[in-house]
Amino acid sequence: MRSEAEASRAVDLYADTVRRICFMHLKNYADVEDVFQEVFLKYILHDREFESDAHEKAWLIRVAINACRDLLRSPFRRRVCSIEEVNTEPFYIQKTEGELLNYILGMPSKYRDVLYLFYYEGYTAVEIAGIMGRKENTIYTWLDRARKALREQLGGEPIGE
Amino acid sequence: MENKLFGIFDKIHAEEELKKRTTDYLFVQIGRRQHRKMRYAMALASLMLFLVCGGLSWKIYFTPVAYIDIDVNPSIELTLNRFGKVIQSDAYNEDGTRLLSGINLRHADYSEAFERLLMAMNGEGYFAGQDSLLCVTVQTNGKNRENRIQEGLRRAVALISQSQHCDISTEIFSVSEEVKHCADENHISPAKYLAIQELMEVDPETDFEKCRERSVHELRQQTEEHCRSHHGEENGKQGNGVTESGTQGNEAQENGTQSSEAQENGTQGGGNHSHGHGPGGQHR
Repeated sequence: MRSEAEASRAVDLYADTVRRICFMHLKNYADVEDVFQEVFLKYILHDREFESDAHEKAWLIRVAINACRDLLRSPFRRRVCSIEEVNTEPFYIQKTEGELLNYILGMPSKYRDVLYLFYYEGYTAVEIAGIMGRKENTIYTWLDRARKALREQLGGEPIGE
Repeated sequence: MENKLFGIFDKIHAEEELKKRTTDYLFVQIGRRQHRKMRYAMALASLMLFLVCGGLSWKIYFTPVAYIDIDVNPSIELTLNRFGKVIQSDAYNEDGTRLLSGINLRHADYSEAFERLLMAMNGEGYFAGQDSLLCVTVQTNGKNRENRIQEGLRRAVALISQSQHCDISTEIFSVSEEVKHCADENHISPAKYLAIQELMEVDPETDFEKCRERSVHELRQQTEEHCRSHHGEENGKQGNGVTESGTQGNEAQENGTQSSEAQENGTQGGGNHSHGHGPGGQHR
Protein backbone atom coordinates (compact mmCIF):
# COMPACT_ATOMS: atom_id res chain seq x y z
CA MET A 1 0.00 0.00 0.00
CA ARG A 2 1.20 3.49 -0.88
CA SER A 3 1.99 6.16 1.66
CA GLU A 4 0.07 9.36 2.45
CA ALA A 5 2.68 11.39 0.55
CA GLU A 6 2.20 9.28 -2.57
CA ALA A 7 -1.58 9.62 -2.25
CA SER A 8 -1.31 13.43 -1.98
CA ARG A 9 1.02 13.57 -4.97
CA ALA A 10 -1.31 11.48 -7.13
CA VAL A 11 -4.34 13.59 -6.21
CA ASP A 12 -2.43 16.80 -7.01
CA LEU A 13 -1.14 15.48 -10.32
CA TYR A 14 -4.09 13.55 -11.70
CA ALA A 15 -7.20 15.02 -10.03
CA ASP A 16 -8.15 17.08 -13.13
CA THR A 17 -7.70 14.13 -15.50
CA VAL A 18 -9.85 11.84 -13.38
CA ARG A 19 -12.39 14.61 -12.86
CA ARG A 20 -12.73 15.15 -16.65
CA ILE A 21 -13.33 11.45 -17.24
CA CYS A 22 -15.93 11.42 -14.45
CA PHE A 23 -17.54 14.51 -15.95
CA MET A 24 -17.90 12.84 -19.32
CA HIS A 25 -19.53 9.71 -17.94
CA LEU A 26 -21.46 10.66 -14.84
CA LYS A 27 -24.45 12.84 -14.44
CA ASN A 28 -24.38 13.80 -10.80
CA TYR A 29 -21.84 15.01 -8.34
CA ALA A 30 -22.36 12.25 -5.75
CA ASP A 31 -21.39 9.64 -8.33
CA VAL A 32 -18.43 11.76 -9.41
CA GLU A 33 -17.19 11.91 -5.85
CA ASP A 34 -17.67 8.16 -5.36
CA VAL A 35 -15.75 7.27 -8.51
CA PHE A 36 -13.11 9.92 -7.87
CA GLN A 37 -12.36 8.47 -4.42
CA GLU A 38 -12.56 4.90 -5.65
CA VAL A 39 -9.98 5.57 -8.39
CA PHE A 40 -7.47 7.04 -5.96
CA LEU A 41 -8.18 4.32 -3.41
CA LYS A 42 -7.30 1.75 -6.08
CA TYR A 43 -4.18 3.75 -6.77
CA ILE A 44 -2.96 3.59 -3.15
CA LEU A 45 -3.77 -0.11 -3.00
CA HIS A 46 -1.89 -0.81 -6.22
CA ASP A 47 1.46 -2.13 -5.01
CA ARG A 48 3.25 -2.58 -8.32
CA GLU A 49 5.65 0.12 -9.38
CA PHE A 50 4.88 2.13 -12.54
CA GLU A 51 7.49 2.28 -15.25
CA SER A 52 7.06 6.03 -15.67
CA ASP A 53 4.72 8.95 -14.93
CA ALA A 54 3.11 8.38 -18.33
CA HIS A 55 2.46 4.77 -17.43
CA GLU A 56 1.00 5.87 -14.11
CA LYS A 57 -1.30 8.39 -15.80
CA ALA A 58 -2.46 5.87 -18.42
CA TRP A 59 -3.20 3.38 -15.63
CA LEU A 60 -5.30 5.96 -13.75
CA ILE A 61 -7.21 6.89 -16.91
CA ARG A 62 -8.05 3.29 -17.58
CA VAL A 63 -9.11 2.70 -13.97
CA ALA A 64 -11.26 5.86 -14.04
CA ILE A 65 -13.01 4.88 -17.30
CA ASN A 66 -13.67 1.37 -15.98
CA ALA A 67 -14.94 2.70 -12.65
CA CYS A 68 -17.39 5.02 -14.42
CA ARG A 69 -18.62 2.20 -16.65
CA ASP A 70 -18.99 -0.17 -13.70
CA LEU A 71 -21.02 2.40 -11.81
CA LEU A 72 -23.29 3.04 -14.77
CA ARG A 73 -23.73 -0.69 -15.35
CA SER A 74 -24.58 -1.36 -11.72
CA PRO A 75 -28.34 -2.01 -11.47
CA PHE A 76 -28.41 -0.74 -7.89
CA ARG A 77 -26.65 2.52 -8.61
CA ARG A 78 -28.03 3.31 -12.02
CA ARG A 79 -28.65 6.99 -12.13
CA VAL A 80 -31.14 8.75 -14.33
CA CYS A 81 -30.80 12.49 -14.72
CA SER A 82 -31.83 15.28 -17.02
CA ILE A 83 -29.62 17.54 -19.09
CA GLU A 84 -30.29 20.31 -16.52
CA GLU A 85 -28.31 18.34 -13.99
CA VAL A 86 -25.40 18.26 -16.37
CA ASN A 87 -25.53 22.03 -16.65
CA THR A 88 -25.10 22.37 -12.93
CA GLU A 89 -21.46 21.29 -13.27
CA PRO A 90 -19.35 24.11 -11.81
CA PHE A 91 -17.30 25.31 -14.69
CA TYR A 92 -17.44 28.19 -17.11
CA ILE A 93 -18.27 27.44 -20.70
CA GLN A 94 -19.46 29.86 -23.31
CA LYS A 95 -22.86 29.27 -24.79
CA THR A 96 -21.57 27.92 -28.12
CA GLU A 97 -19.12 25.69 -26.30
CA GLY A 98 -21.96 24.58 -24.03
CA GLU A 99 -23.90 23.36 -27.03
CA LEU A 100 -20.90 21.47 -28.35
CA LEU A 101 -20.33 20.02 -24.91
CA ASN A 102 -23.92 18.88 -24.63
CA TYR A 103 -23.57 17.24 -28.00
CA ILE A 104 -20.39 15.44 -26.95
CA LEU A 105 -22.03 14.31 -23.73
CA GLY A 106 -24.90 12.92 -25.77
CA MET A 107 -22.56 10.75 -27.84
CA PRO A 108 -21.86 7.09 -26.95
CA SER A 109 -19.26 6.88 -24.20
CA LYS A 110 -16.68 5.18 -26.42
CA TYR A 111 -16.69 8.21 -28.78
CA ARG A 112 -16.44 10.61 -25.85
CA ASP A 113 -13.47 8.73 -24.47
CA VAL A 114 -11.52 8.62 -27.73
CA LEU A 115 -12.24 12.31 -28.43
CA TYR A 116 -11.01 13.29 -24.98
CA LEU A 117 -7.93 11.08 -25.07
CA PHE A 118 -7.02 12.04 -28.62
CA TYR A 119 -7.74 15.79 -28.63
CA TYR A 120 -7.09 16.75 -25.06
CA GLU A 121 -4.63 14.24 -23.61
CA GLY A 122 -2.80 13.92 -26.94
CA TYR A 123 -2.59 10.15 -27.01
CA THR A 124 -2.15 8.37 -30.34
CA ALA A 125 -4.65 5.79 -31.54
CA VAL A 126 -2.18 3.06 -30.61
CA GLU A 127 -1.86 4.41 -27.07
CA ILE A 128 -5.62 4.80 -26.75
CA ALA A 129 -6.00 1.19 -27.91
CA GLY A 130 -3.64 0.17 -25.11
CA ILE A 131 -5.49 2.21 -22.49
CA MET A 132 -8.96 1.05 -23.52
CA GLY A 133 -7.95 -2.52 -24.23
CA ARG A 134 -9.23 -2.39 -27.79
CA LYS A 135 -7.73 -3.04 -31.20
CA GLU A 136 -6.02 -0.14 -32.90
CA ASN A 137 -8.39 -0.33 -35.87
CA THR A 138 -11.37 -0.13 -33.56
CA ILE A 139 -10.00 3.13 -32.12
CA TYR A 140 -9.49 4.53 -35.62
CA THR A 141 -13.07 3.63 -36.50
CA TRP A 142 -14.45 5.23 -33.35
CA LEU A 143 -12.38 8.36 -33.87
CA ASP A 144 -13.54 8.62 -37.46
CA ARG A 145 -17.20 8.23 -36.55
CA ALA A 146 -16.94 10.70 -33.67
CA ARG A 147 -15.29 13.27 -35.94
CA LYS A 148 -17.94 12.83 -38.64
CA ALA A 149 -20.73 13.26 -36.13
CA LEU A 150 -19.12 16.41 -34.68
CA ARG A 151 -18.50 17.79 -38.16
CA GLU A 152 -22.16 17.38 -39.00
CA GLN A 153 -23.15 19.02 -35.74
CA LEU A 154 -20.85 21.96 -36.42
CA GLY A 155 -22.12 22.41 -39.98
CA GLY A 156 -19.15 20.98 -41.83
CA GLU A 157 -16.42 22.74 -39.86
CA PRO A 158 -13.28 20.61 -40.28
CA ILE A 159 -11.73 18.88 -37.26
CA GLY A 160 -7.98 18.33 -37.15
CA GLU A 161 -6.99 14.68 -37.64
CA MET B 1 -12.54 22.96 -33.92
CA GLU B 2 -9.64 21.08 -32.37
CA ASN B 3 -8.98 24.09 -30.16
CA LYS B 4 -12.62 24.28 -29.21
CA LEU B 5 -12.57 20.70 -28.02
CA PHE B 6 -9.35 21.28 -26.10
CA GLY B 7 -10.82 24.44 -24.60
CA ILE B 8 -13.95 22.66 -23.43
CA PHE B 9 -12.03 19.88 -21.72
CA ASP B 10 -9.47 22.28 -20.34
CA LYS B 11 -12.10 24.17 -18.41
CA ILE B 12 -12.98 21.11 -16.38
CA HIS B 13 -11.02 20.96 -13.15
CA ALA B 14 -11.30 18.96 -9.98
CA GLU B 15 -12.85 21.14 -7.26
CA GLU B 16 -10.56 21.91 -4.32
CA GLU B 17 -13.22 20.62 -1.96
CA LEU B 18 -13.35 17.31 -3.84
CA LYS B 19 -9.57 17.01 -3.77
CA LYS B 20 -9.48 17.75 -0.06
CA ARG B 21 -12.25 15.29 0.78
CA THR B 22 -10.57 12.62 -1.37
CA THR B 23 -7.20 13.19 0.27
CA ASP B 24 -8.78 12.97 3.72
CA TYR B 25 -10.62 9.80 2.71
CA LEU B 26 -7.38 8.28 1.41
CA PHE B 27 -5.51 9.15 4.62
CA VAL B 28 -8.25 7.52 6.69
CA GLN B 29 -8.11 4.41 4.49
CA ILE B 30 -4.31 4.25 4.73
CA GLY B 31 -4.50 4.61 8.51
CA ARG B 32 -7.17 1.94 8.80
CA ARG B 33 -5.30 -0.50 6.60
CA GLN B 34 -2.05 0.07 8.46
CA HIS B 35 -3.88 -0.45 11.74
CA ARG B 36 -5.44 -3.61 10.33
CA LYS B 37 -2.04 -4.79 9.12
CA MET B 38 -0.64 -4.12 12.58
CA ARG B 39 -3.49 -6.08 14.13
CA TYR B 40 -2.87 -9.01 11.81
CA ALA B 41 0.85 -8.84 12.57
CA MET B 42 0.12 -8.78 16.29
CA ALA B 43 -2.30 -11.68 15.99
CA LEU B 44 0.23 -13.63 13.96
CA ALA B 45 3.01 -12.83 16.43
CA SER B 46 0.77 -13.91 19.32
CA LEU B 47 -0.08 -17.13 17.52
CA MET B 48 3.59 -17.80 16.82
CA LEU B 49 4.47 -17.07 20.45
CA PHE B 50 1.68 -19.36 21.61
CA LEU B 51 2.85 -22.14 19.30
CA VAL B 52 6.50 -21.75 20.29
CA CYS B 53 5.66 -21.60 24.01
CA GLY B 54 3.27 -24.51 23.61
CA GLY B 55 5.87 -26.52 21.73
CA LEU B 56 8.54 -25.73 24.29
CA SER B 57 6.24 -26.55 27.21
CA TRP B 58 5.26 -29.77 25.49
CA LYS B 59 8.92 -30.63 24.97
CA ILE B 60 9.86 -29.76 28.54
CA TYR B 61 6.90 -31.64 29.99
CA PHE B 62 7.45 -34.78 27.95
CA THR B 63 11.22 -34.99 28.28
CA PRO B 64 12.05 -37.90 30.61
CA VAL B 65 14.48 -37.04 33.37
CA ALA B 66 14.03 -39.94 35.78
CA TYR B 67 13.01 -43.59 35.76
CA ILE B 68 11.56 -45.56 38.64
CA ASP B 69 11.63 -49.31 38.17
CA ILE B 70 9.51 -51.36 40.52
CA ASP B 71 10.01 -55.07 40.86
CA VAL B 72 7.97 -57.41 43.05
CA ASN B 73 6.81 -59.90 40.60
CA PRO B 74 4.99 -57.34 38.56
CA SER B 75 7.84 -55.50 36.99
CA ILE B 76 6.94 -51.92 36.10
CA GLU B 77 8.77 -48.80 34.99
CA LEU B 78 7.56 -45.26 35.59
CA THR B 79 9.09 -42.53 33.45
CA LEU B 80 9.10 -39.11 35.13
CA ASN B 81 9.48 -35.60 33.77
CA ARG B 82 11.33 -32.78 35.50
CA PHE B 83 8.18 -31.93 37.50
CA GLY B 84 8.01 -35.41 39.01
CA LYS B 85 4.95 -36.35 36.94
CA VAL B 86 4.57 -39.76 35.36
CA ILE B 87 4.69 -39.34 31.59
CA GLN B 88 4.83 -43.02 30.78
CA SER B 89 4.27 -46.34 32.54
CA ASP B 90 5.49 -49.60 31.07
CA ALA B 91 5.37 -53.18 32.19
CA TYR B 92 8.26 -55.61 31.83
CA ASN B 93 6.19 -58.73 32.38
CA GLU B 94 2.65 -60.06 32.18
CA ASP B 95 1.88 -59.36 35.82
CA GLY B 96 2.97 -55.78 35.29
CA THR B 97 0.79 -55.44 32.18
CA ARG B 98 -2.21 -56.82 34.02
CA LEU B 99 -1.66 -54.49 36.94
CA LEU B 100 -1.20 -51.41 34.74
CA SER B 101 -4.25 -52.18 32.64
CA GLY B 102 -6.48 -51.21 35.55
CA ILE B 103 -4.64 -48.06 36.59
CA ASN B 104 -4.05 -44.82 34.76
CA LEU B 105 -0.90 -43.27 36.14
CA ARG B 106 -0.25 -40.74 33.39
CA HIS B 107 0.34 -37.20 34.68
CA ALA B 108 0.10 -38.34 38.30
CA ASP B 109 2.77 -37.29 40.75
CA TYR B 110 5.37 -40.05 41.08
CA SER B 111 4.71 -40.64 44.81
CA GLU B 112 0.97 -40.81 44.20
CA ALA B 113 1.50 -43.18 41.27
CA PHE B 114 3.80 -45.30 43.39
CA GLU B 115 1.25 -45.41 46.22
CA ARG B 116 -1.48 -46.48 43.82
CA LEU B 117 0.74 -49.23 42.45
CA LEU B 118 1.58 -50.45 45.95
CA MET B 119 -2.12 -50.46 46.85
CA ALA B 120 -2.91 -52.45 43.73
CA MET B 121 -0.06 -54.88 44.38
CA ASN B 122 -1.18 -55.32 47.98
CA GLY B 123 -4.71 -55.90 46.78
CA GLU B 124 -3.45 -58.61 44.48
CA GLY B 125 -1.60 -60.20 47.42
CA TYR B 126 1.93 -59.66 46.21
CA PHE B 127 3.08 -58.58 49.68
CA ALA B 128 1.26 -61.37 51.53
CA GLY B 129 4.07 -63.94 51.50
CA GLN B 130 7.02 -63.81 53.87
CA ASP B 131 9.48 -63.94 51.00
CA SER B 132 8.05 -61.00 49.03
CA LEU B 133 10.45 -58.19 48.24
CA LEU B 134 9.72 -54.78 46.79
CA CYS B 135 12.75 -53.75 44.84
CA VAL B 136 12.76 -50.19 43.50
CA THR B 137 15.52 -48.58 41.49
CA VAL B 138 15.83 -44.93 40.58
CA GLN B 139 17.84 -43.67 37.66
CA THR B 140 18.24 -39.97 37.14
CA ASN B 141 20.86 -37.30 36.64
CA GLY B 142 21.44 -35.14 39.66
CA LYS B 143 21.97 -36.18 43.22
CA ASN B 144 19.31 -33.84 44.61
CA ARG B 145 16.58 -35.18 42.39
CA GLU B 146 17.71 -38.73 43.13
CA ASN B 147 17.53 -38.16 46.91
CA ARG B 148 14.20 -36.40 46.61
CA ILE B 149 12.65 -39.24 44.62
CA GLN B 150 14.04 -41.90 46.94
CA GLU B 151 12.69 -40.02 49.93
CA GLY B 152 9.27 -39.72 48.30
CA LEU B 153 9.25 -43.43 47.53
CA ARG B 154 10.19 -44.35 51.10
CA ARG B 155 7.47 -42.12 52.46
CA ALA B 156 4.97 -43.78 50.12
CA VAL B 157 6.04 -47.27 51.28
CA ALA B 158 5.71 -46.22 54.91
CA LEU B 159 2.29 -44.74 54.28
CA ILE B 160 0.97 -47.80 52.51
CA SER B 161 2.49 -50.15 55.11
CA GLN B 162 0.71 -48.19 57.79
CA SER B 163 -2.62 -47.78 56.09
CA GLN B 164 -2.82 -51.31 54.68
CA HIS B 165 -1.38 -52.93 57.81
CA CYS B 166 1.17 -54.86 55.83
CA ASP B 167 4.88 -55.33 56.22
CA ILE B 168 6.61 -54.61 52.95
CA SER B 169 10.25 -55.63 52.67
CA THR B 170 11.72 -52.88 50.56
CA GLU B 171 14.93 -52.06 48.79
CA ILE B 172 15.23 -48.66 47.22
CA PHE B 173 18.45 -47.74 45.50
CA SER B 174 19.79 -45.80 42.56
CA VAL B 175 21.37 -47.30 39.49
CA SER B 176 23.71 -45.79 36.96
CA GLU B 177 22.70 -44.89 33.45
CA GLU B 178 24.80 -47.79 32.11
CA VAL B 179 22.97 -50.36 34.22
CA LYS B 180 19.64 -48.89 33.18
CA HIS B 181 20.72 -49.03 29.57
CA CYS B 182 21.79 -52.70 29.82
CA ALA B 183 18.54 -53.57 31.62
CA ASP B 184 16.52 -51.79 28.91
CA GLU B 185 18.34 -53.70 26.20
CA ASN B 186 17.28 -56.95 27.87
CA HIS B 187 13.82 -55.58 28.61
CA ILE B 188 14.02 -56.27 32.33
CA SER B 189 14.15 -53.99 35.34
CA PRO B 190 17.60 -52.81 36.52
CA ALA B 191 17.10 -54.60 39.85
CA LYS B 192 16.45 -57.88 38.08
CA TYR B 193 19.34 -57.25 35.71
CA LEU B 194 21.70 -56.77 38.65
CA ALA B 195 20.32 -59.85 40.43
CA ILE B 196 20.88 -61.95 37.29
CA GLN B 197 24.40 -60.53 36.91
CA GLU B 198 25.17 -61.53 40.51
CA LEU B 199 23.81 -65.01 39.95
CA MET B 200 25.82 -65.38 36.76
CA GLU B 201 28.96 -64.31 38.60
CA VAL B 202 28.61 -67.16 41.08
CA ASP B 203 27.12 -69.58 38.58
CA PRO B 204 28.34 -68.84 35.04
CA GLU B 205 26.15 -71.63 33.64
CA THR B 206 22.97 -69.73 34.53
CA ASP B 207 20.59 -69.32 31.60
CA PHE B 208 19.77 -65.63 31.28
CA GLU B 209 16.46 -66.27 29.46
CA LYS B 210 15.22 -68.60 32.20
CA CYS B 211 16.01 -66.00 34.85
CA ARG B 212 13.92 -63.40 33.09
CA GLU B 213 10.60 -64.70 34.46
CA ARG B 214 11.81 -65.11 38.02
CA SER B 215 11.43 -62.49 40.71
CA VAL B 216 14.38 -60.59 42.15
CA HIS B 217 13.84 -62.31 45.46
CA GLU B 218 14.02 -65.75 43.84
CA LEU B 219 17.18 -64.81 41.97
CA ARG B 220 18.80 -63.55 45.16
CA GLN B 221 17.82 -66.71 47.00
CA GLN B 222 19.34 -68.83 44.25
CA THR B 223 22.54 -66.79 44.40
CA GLU B 224 22.75 -67.23 48.15
CA GLU B 225 22.06 -70.96 47.92
CA HIS B 226 24.69 -71.34 45.24
CA CYS B 227 27.22 -69.45 47.35
CA ARG B 228 26.38 -71.56 50.36
CA SER B 229 26.69 -74.87 48.52
CA HIS B 230 29.85 -73.71 46.78
CA HIS B 231 31.45 -72.76 50.08
CA GLY B 232 30.31 -76.00 51.62
CA GLU B 233 32.00 -77.95 48.84
CA GLU B 234 35.18 -75.94 49.24
CA ASN B 235 35.16 -76.46 52.99
CA GLY B 236 34.68 -80.19 52.50
CA LYS B 237 37.61 -80.34 50.11
CA GLN B 238 39.88 -78.34 52.42
CA GLY B 239 39.20 -80.64 55.37
CA ASN B 240 40.31 -77.91 57.72
CA GLY B 241 37.64 -75.33 57.00
CA VAL B 242 37.78 -73.28 60.18
CA THR B 243 40.03 -70.55 58.77
CA GLU B 244 38.18 -70.53 55.45
CA SER B 245 34.78 -70.33 57.06
CA GLY B 246 36.14 -67.56 59.19
CA THR B 247 37.10 -65.66 56.07
CA GLN B 248 33.69 -66.32 54.56
CA GLY B 249 32.24 -65.17 57.79
CA ASN B 250 34.03 -61.89 57.38
CA GLU B 251 32.66 -61.53 53.88
CA ALA B 252 29.21 -62.21 55.17
CA GLN B 253 29.84 -59.68 57.84
CA GLU B 254 30.73 -57.14 55.18
CA ASN B 255 27.47 -57.90 53.43
CA GLY B 256 25.80 -57.59 56.76
CA THR B 257 27.18 -54.08 57.13
CA GLN B 258 25.63 -53.17 53.81
CA SER B 259 22.41 -54.68 55.04
CA SER B 260 22.39 -52.56 58.12
CA GLU B 261 23.02 -49.49 55.97
CA ALA B 262 20.04 -50.39 53.88
CA GLN B 263 18.09 -51.03 57.04
CA GLU B 264 19.02 -47.58 58.26
CA ASN B 265 17.68 -46.20 55.03
CA GLY B 266 14.59 -48.26 55.54
CA THR B 267 14.15 -46.91 59.02
CA GLN B 268 14.37 -43.38 57.72
CA GLY B 269 11.70 -44.27 55.24
CA GLY B 270 9.27 -45.23 57.95
CA GLY B 271 10.34 -48.51 59.50
CA ASN B 272 10.01 -50.86 56.54
CA HIS B 273 12.45 -53.73 56.30
CA SER B 274 15.21 -53.34 53.78
CA HIS B 275 17.46 -56.03 52.50
CA GLY B 276 20.96 -54.84 51.92
CA HIS B 277 22.45 -55.83 48.64
CA GLY B 278 25.50 -54.53 46.96
CA PRO B 279 25.25 -54.94 43.21
CA GLY B 280 28.01 -53.42 41.16
CA GLY B 281 25.97 -50.72 39.41
CA GLN B 282 23.88 -49.51 42.29
CA HIS B 283 24.34 -46.17 44.04
CA ARG B 284 23.49 -45.73 47.63
